[in-house]
Amino acid sequence: MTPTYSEGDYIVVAKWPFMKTLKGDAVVVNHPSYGVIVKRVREIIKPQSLLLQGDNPQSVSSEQMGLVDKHALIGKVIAVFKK
Amino acid sequence: MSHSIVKALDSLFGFQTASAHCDIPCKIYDPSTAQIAVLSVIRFCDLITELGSKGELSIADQAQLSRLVREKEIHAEKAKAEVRTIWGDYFKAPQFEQFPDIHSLVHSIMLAGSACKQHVDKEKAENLLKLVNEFAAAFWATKGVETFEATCPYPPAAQVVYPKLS
Repeated sequence: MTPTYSEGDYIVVAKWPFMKTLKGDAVVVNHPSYGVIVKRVREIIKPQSLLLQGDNPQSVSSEQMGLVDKHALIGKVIAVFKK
Repeated sequence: MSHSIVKALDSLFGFQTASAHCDIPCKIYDPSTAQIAVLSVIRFCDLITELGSKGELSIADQAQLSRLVREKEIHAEKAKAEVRTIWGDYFKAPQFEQFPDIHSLVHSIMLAGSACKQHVDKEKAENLLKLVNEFAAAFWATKGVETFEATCPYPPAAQVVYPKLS
């Protein structure tokens, strides 16, 4: 996710009832293949599915990550403490 | 300052870690591996046709036929995999903007590759080569490298798109 987040940065993640996930939000999800990852919402494909992407061009691609179920969403990034 | 405070809290409470998970960026992409795999498919079709002209096949011929069919299918699958890797890992927004039809081309390559696995027709393999050549030309164009077509200097002596590397 460089340059937005770098190794060692701290991010604060929150989730609240009726939280709306929007295109462009930085989110943390529990991905079935990649584990707990921080990515950005590229598209909201269906009410329950997110297409994610990394900010870095070398990021694992949206196609490789596939659609992520909203139940896997841990929360949105609401604050960052840069190293 | 604030990072140091959070870090101290982390050492006390042990916050969960989120990875940004990137691939190791080797950046080594080259469609020639896919093109060579398709040339092999064409060659295997030729060899299967040659074997078919024999009429009755001996046990040795049947064993040879079995090998040729197996290798044809392996190489058709390899061509598909190589193209998928370049499309999935190398192509990103700027390349998609340059070649908006690349998704449709890659899908056609997937179908043509499967047709090569299902059949022994040289025409199907030549169609796959035509599509993979188109993909190679697009790939090199994204890198600003000109291409040219030439007959490969070995069987099946088919037309291949090569990069003009000086």
